[in-house]
Amino acid sequence: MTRKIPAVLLTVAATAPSLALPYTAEAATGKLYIGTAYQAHQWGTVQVRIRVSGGRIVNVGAVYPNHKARSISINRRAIPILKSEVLKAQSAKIHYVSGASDTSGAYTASLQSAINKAHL
Amino acid sequence: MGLPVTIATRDAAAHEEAVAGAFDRLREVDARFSLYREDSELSALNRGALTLEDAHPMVHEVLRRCEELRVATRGYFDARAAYVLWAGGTPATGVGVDPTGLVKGWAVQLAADGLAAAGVCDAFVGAAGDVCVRGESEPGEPWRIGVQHPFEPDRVAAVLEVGDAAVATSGAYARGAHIVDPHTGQTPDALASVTVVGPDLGTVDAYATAAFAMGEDGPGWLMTLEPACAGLAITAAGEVLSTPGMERFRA
Repeated sequence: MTRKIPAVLLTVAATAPSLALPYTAEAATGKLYIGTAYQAHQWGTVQVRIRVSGGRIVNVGAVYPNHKARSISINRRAIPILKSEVLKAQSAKIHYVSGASDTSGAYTASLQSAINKAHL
Repeated sequence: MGLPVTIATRDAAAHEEAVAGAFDRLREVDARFSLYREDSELSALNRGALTLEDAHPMVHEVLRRCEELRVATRGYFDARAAYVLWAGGTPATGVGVDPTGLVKGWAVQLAADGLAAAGVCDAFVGAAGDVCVRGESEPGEPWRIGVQHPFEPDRVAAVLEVGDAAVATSGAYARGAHIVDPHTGQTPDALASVTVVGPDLGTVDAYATAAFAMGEDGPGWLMTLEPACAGLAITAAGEVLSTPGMERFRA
């Protein structure tokens, strides 16, 4: 198995002077470039979006397919101590999103195509 | 790493030098540990072109941490098994280790510690969904870290208010089959994601990956991380299970 990472960025510096970026809102400045959607895994695709301002990437995001919730049993032994809630979707003012990263070739391929479109 | 890294400080202009230094550290770690670079120390180790004795102390530290985490996670975080998965087998010569699952968080923690040492008290360093937070976002205000909703890409499932802490999330919605149970080789599907909050990013990232790989046993295992770390698991069926220590972070 070989996985090649496209020769793209190592790091994207986003030293934001103003941090209160709502997660769902687009950054006000820069132009949005959307990469090609690539098959990420058996469930669907990943599509990377970058925002470019002054020749620099100022924001990177990715869109993943919606997944159907599946009913799978959880080992209940230690569960009484755990607090249980129903999953809810929120839109909140936050500084950063903690989420599963996609380090697969699909992510970098989509990122590369967005960068190509931006002619960086 | 090949992943976007975000460094945010409250006063970017005043901390330009410190931030540049943090990125230099990240580049140094990438040059040493990248499996995608033939010239990295890790690639040389895995080819057998470099012996452990001759490797940089950084490499020793990471491999020692990997071994500690393998024991702490009952083998669910396993850098050697990760290599076999990545390369499709064990190398004919060389070490055969893929510490990528630790290195990203470890490097970001290193960068954040470097910022703190340079006097940057209020900042965060985030890399592909994992973040190391310091101080406050504004006077009297915590940093607010959203936990990605696993089924709705533009929404969050929870908001965590943190000061000096690291937050990491592992899940299937983005990485797909990339997390496997090293004991069975199967992709776990009981959980949609696991988030762990604790003092060190490399550690909480490995814990989150391990708990995810445990599948239905993951939420219960998160309890064993208390009180040092708090955990939050979202099941594939849409239930949010959190350890008692997570309460103090929930907004």
